[in-house]
Amino acid sequence: VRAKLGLPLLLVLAACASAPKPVDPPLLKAALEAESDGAKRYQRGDLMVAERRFADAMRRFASIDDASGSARNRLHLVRVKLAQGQVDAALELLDGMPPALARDLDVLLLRGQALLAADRAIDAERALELAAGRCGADCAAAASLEILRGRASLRRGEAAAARAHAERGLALLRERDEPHELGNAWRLLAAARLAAGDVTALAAAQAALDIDRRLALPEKIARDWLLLGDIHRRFTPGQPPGGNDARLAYARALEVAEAAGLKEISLIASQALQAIGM
Amino acid sequence: VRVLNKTEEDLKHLGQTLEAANQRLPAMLDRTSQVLDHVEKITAEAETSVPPVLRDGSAVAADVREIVGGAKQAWPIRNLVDAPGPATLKADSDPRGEAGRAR
Repeated sequence: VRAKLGLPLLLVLAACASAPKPVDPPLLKAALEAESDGAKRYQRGDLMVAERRFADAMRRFASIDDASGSARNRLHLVRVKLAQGQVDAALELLDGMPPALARDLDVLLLRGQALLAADRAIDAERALELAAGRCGADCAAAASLEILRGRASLRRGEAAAARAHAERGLALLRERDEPHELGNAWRLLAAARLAAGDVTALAAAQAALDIDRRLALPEKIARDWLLLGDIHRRFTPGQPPGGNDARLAYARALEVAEAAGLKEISLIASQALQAIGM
Repeated sequence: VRVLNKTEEDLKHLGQTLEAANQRLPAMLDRTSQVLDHVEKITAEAETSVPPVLRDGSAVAADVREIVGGAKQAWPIRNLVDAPGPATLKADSDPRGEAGRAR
């Protein structure tokens, strides 16, 4: 009996005697929780709530003078704004980065991405060149950098350079778990091959579509269908231009865009269908 | 006889009570009706001024977050729940798939 009572007592005494676990201050904990919740929402595609949570986290970190936490959440917010297509807001947030962090690799990459989205290809290339200077041998963002530089090349009409960047990006992504970037690299390769008049663009666009469908990303799926329509239109002979394949691809783009409430893509798909006489 | 007298008194008393209730009943019914009208008005106003999503999903989500957040702050749970680390978002250099169709 003594042994039976002694053991729990010993455990209780040991627990009391052990050093107390360090606990994060409540305000820091609340900021980290807002950030973590925002990240979960972002991954789920719930961008409006993600935006609110990151803005909340940014404010909370600022209130406890945690500059790095505040800057990190500012960059999360930039990603949300870019995903929402709010380029000006993204650039404004980037302009508000502390000067000491303005030349960080992540900041330069996001700036390049935002400038590309704003159709400012020359400024984008400048930011991406600076980013390349900060992306060393084991740079985790090397594939993203290749994709962005490839997009900038494509904007300049340099299909061969864009293709080379896309292929390097794909090679870098081979062993990595970055499905979004993998889809982006295939899409870029498809666009570069189309611009170069290479019929293998079709296989690359199909690969991008397969990945984006697996990830269930409506906007990318719709744009992949648009690209497939363009490729058929270019390479498939017949009447209407691109034959039945182009018509079907544009119609799928329209269907997905309408179901997802993507007005801009719906309009583009409708215009593409009109252009081939549908 | 005594029992009958008592019963008669009781009946008289009951009659008086019923009469009093009868006099007050219309006023009480009016008041009940006013209260019901008021409740109905508030409900109708809420119906038009509060979007349905807010009434359902967001309100519930906010409540749940508040409850869970409150619980996490309360001793001894706050000592058991670790704060999450800084978040890292998955890389996506083309979140809208714009590379396919350069503007």
